[in-house]
Amino acid sequence: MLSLPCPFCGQRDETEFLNAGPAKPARPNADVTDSKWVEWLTVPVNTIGYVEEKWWHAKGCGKWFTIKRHTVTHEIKMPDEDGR
Amino acid sequence: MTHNPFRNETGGRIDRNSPVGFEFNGRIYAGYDGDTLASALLANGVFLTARSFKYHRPRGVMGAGVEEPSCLVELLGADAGGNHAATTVRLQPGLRAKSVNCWPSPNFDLMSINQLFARFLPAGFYYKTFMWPNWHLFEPSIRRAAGLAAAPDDKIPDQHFETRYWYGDVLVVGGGPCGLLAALIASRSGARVMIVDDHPHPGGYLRASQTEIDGKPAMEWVAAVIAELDTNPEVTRLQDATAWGYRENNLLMITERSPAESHVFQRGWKARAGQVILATGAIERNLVFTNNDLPGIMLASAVQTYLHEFGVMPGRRVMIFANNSSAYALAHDLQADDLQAAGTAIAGIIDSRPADAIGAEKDGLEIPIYTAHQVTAAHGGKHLRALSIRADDGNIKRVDCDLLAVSGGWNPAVHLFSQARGTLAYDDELASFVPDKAAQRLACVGAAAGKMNLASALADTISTITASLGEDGFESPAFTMPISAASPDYHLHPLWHVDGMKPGDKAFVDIQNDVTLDDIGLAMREGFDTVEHVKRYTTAGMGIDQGKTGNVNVIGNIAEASAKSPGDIGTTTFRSPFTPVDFGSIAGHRNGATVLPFRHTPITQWNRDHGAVMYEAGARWQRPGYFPIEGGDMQDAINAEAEAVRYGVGVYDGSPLGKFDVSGRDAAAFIDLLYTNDFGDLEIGMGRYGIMLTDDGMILDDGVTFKLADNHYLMSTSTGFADLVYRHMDYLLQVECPGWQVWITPVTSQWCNATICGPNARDVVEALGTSIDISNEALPFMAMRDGIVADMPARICRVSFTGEVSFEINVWPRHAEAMWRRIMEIGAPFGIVPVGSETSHVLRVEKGFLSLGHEVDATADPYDLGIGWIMSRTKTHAIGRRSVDIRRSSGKPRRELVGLIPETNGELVPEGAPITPNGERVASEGFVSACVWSVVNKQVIALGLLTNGRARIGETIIIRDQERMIKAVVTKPCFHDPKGERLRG
Ligand SMILES: [Zn+2]
Repeated sequence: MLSLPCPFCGQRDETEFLNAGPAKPARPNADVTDSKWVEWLTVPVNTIGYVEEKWWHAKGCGKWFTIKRHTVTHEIKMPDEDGR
Repeated sequence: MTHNPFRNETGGRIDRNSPVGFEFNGRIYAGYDGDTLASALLANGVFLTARSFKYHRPRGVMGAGVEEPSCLVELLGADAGGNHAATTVRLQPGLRAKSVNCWPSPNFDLMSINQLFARFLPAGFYYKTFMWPNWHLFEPSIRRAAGLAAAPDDKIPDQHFETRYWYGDVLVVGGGPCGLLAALIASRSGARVMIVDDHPHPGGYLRASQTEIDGKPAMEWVAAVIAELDTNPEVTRLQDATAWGYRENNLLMITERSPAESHVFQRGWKARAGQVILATGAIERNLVFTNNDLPGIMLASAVQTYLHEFGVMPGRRVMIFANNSSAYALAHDLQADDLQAAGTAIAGIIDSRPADAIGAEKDGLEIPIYTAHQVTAAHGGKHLRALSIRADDGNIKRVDCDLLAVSGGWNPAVHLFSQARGTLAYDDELASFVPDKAAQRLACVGAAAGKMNLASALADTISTITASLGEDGFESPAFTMPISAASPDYHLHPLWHVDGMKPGDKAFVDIQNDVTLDDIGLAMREGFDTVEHVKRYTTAGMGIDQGKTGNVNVIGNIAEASAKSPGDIGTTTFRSPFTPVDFGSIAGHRNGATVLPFRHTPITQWNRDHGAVMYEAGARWQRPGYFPIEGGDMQDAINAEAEAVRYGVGVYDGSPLGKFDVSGRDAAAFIDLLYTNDFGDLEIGMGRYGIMLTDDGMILDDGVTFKLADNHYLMSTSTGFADLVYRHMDYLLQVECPGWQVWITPVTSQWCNATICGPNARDVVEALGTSIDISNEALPFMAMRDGIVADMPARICRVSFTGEVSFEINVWPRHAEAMWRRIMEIGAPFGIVPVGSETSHVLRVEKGFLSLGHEVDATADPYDLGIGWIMSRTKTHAIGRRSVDIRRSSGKPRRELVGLIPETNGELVPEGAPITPNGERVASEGFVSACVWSVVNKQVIALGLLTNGRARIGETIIIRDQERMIKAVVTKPCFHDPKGERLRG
């Protein structure tokens, strides 16, 4: 059970949240090629290290937010902690 | 008078004034308060306590704690539970236990015939032998013969579990000297502290040693520390509690076995700390020689524990076999005058190290020390009688003894450290694995960190905890180190096994799983040369004890056989739980409706009063399935309800249907984005059916959305998917459309509805009395109006999920029951009947209306379902549109919605049954999604998805129901009023 930093509510247990998978780049424009579209849709980043994830504070304030989670240690940072 | 022939007159921490009766394998014994089941059995002279897993060899108690590999018991009665190590079961009045793995008793074990077949049961035997036709055929009988304990059949009435959470600054695992010291310093620094110890009483290994701290017996120091900790309200101290799981972000899973509240059987804790201190100590390992599993052979540390904790001396003539200095402490203890006087003889130490390697540990011993000697075999039938010992010149001699204390060295208990994803390093001096890099905010101290000398371990603990408290802003007050009496340095020569075994000799590396040295060799000869493979092939390190005493010996022997360092071999993964955990302590009170509460409408009580058979109909909503009728079965009841709707009038409670109020400046644009079809030309007061897709082009949900005003909509969703649709919309608004002004209010429970349906529905609504003009001209199909119905504020919507004229009477929840009763009362002369969800299903299948989870699964798109018209040609931006187009552009054949008329003489076909080409056992070409008895067609009808189904209408296909083949004719997916004239009437 992770401990997640909700931007509004602070540090809370994972049971209050729903995971929505990897955070995707912005939705591509309509004029991208089909293969680019499929790539956006289906290819998540899966590294050993930090990945970006979307979480929803479903049993809390309802905020959708992005975190960076280390896939080995589960260390969690907010995306802007390293300049993004 | 308690007869304990192996109990000393004095000594131990048990209460000799409180005898405790218990039952073991059907016989009655007595021990004392403070005993474990194992210590009480030993005190009674019950040495043969178990039979081994595979060969059914006689086994006794080998350890004194969680490491116990051998003596597993099943608890009966109020404590019922399987596979407990007898060394961890506290003796309590009325305790009943029995051995596992033997029938009818360990002394007379019919399964021990397995020993005669031992040479046919090598490593991998099961894999090789029971492959054909498949393992599952053999598994039940093999499991029974293997005979690990059975789970209790029923819920145990008085086993009440609960869960607690704890959050704090420092969590210390381990109640030994280093754990107590860490907790004490953290407590004085002002931190919020928890200390967890798996023993019923604090002190750790100090309880079983004669060590002194500050010039006094060490246990006096322990008592003083505990007294101070217990006065600090910020300190939580759990005894008889095991931290068995180390999860992410410093969360520890803890099971407390004897909470102060007597009504709580066990309590599960989820504790999260800023930093964790692991003072988990070390576990002694076994030595590998022939018959090293014989009752009477125990770990040296276990003998010390039985002596000092329980006042039990489980043998009269004792030998020690060690490859290290630690076991000498036992020899010193056994020289005590009172033990000698009571008839205990310490007959000697067999030390595999050469004489010049042995240091101060031998000072003061007056017994023979056989240096550079090894035990080649233990002898005895059901108990140890003698040893063969071999000098380094090869000469073998025989010595008699009835207790052999063995020590193969110590393994730091790195289990939790490793579960936390820390890496391990091999330490040549300890010949074991020690913590290397931590992956979370934690530190190991004491023996867990490989510090085997008490004085230096305490000093190391002080510097570690002081530094890490400082990092968190806690200032540790100046601390004087408790001075511990000097103890000899720990020194060891690895001895992974004793050489020179004869064929057929059995030397066990994993006692619990009956894995011998030969099995390791066999696995390696057959090419399983990594530790993970050897583990899986031989089962070494599996089971209840997870190889706590044997794993490093397995690794050492693999290393030796492959001429590598154990560090190159590495360990297997340490998994949770550290020790077996009752599922109840994980679940706590979270059980059934406590986890996922049921949802009820205001009509539930009325439904129950009228005999409805209630069950869940999506998203935990409790709905009436059907209303039983006198003299008829379930099908008769469903038929009667369906006929009422088709030919008269019925009413159902439609309240659970998901409903959302969508409003705001951009609400129209948002609806447009969500649905694949156009809503732009929808008039105020009218509704439209729509389909929403996910980004990957799958159908997320369907439903009718009404336009209440410009940029104000009432959206309805399917019952089961309402929560998912809300999540979908909220994601879009917060993440993808952050500038949009749209407010979504879930109003599912703010509007209840009774849906009156059937040819006579309009007459019933008229009779109820309404301010709304309900003529077909004023209120056509898909229209909605607000007004008064039966003197209550109401909103009437004309949608139809049945194919008949329907009036959905929406009211506030507080009026729902009153409205329902009025409808039943006013409708009675019209023959109105309540309709359950079974009938709703029949009615929608007759009409070919879609149901999510039946026809709509994660593969079907709107074209497949015959509603391609809903994919607006102009709205290419609607979510999911592009993915549907891409998928269909491949031109691959699709499964399409069809009707089916199965030839079954009235019997229903199971939903989900596959359709295969010509009924052969090949890949399916579709499946039956729904099947009902049609009251209008007077025959069985079905819906299904069939490859290229629309082009195959009229064809006969074959449904396979297990071995049965059912012919069915393919039809259009609508069996009633295909033009939809009735629902528009
Ligand atoms: Zn929040």
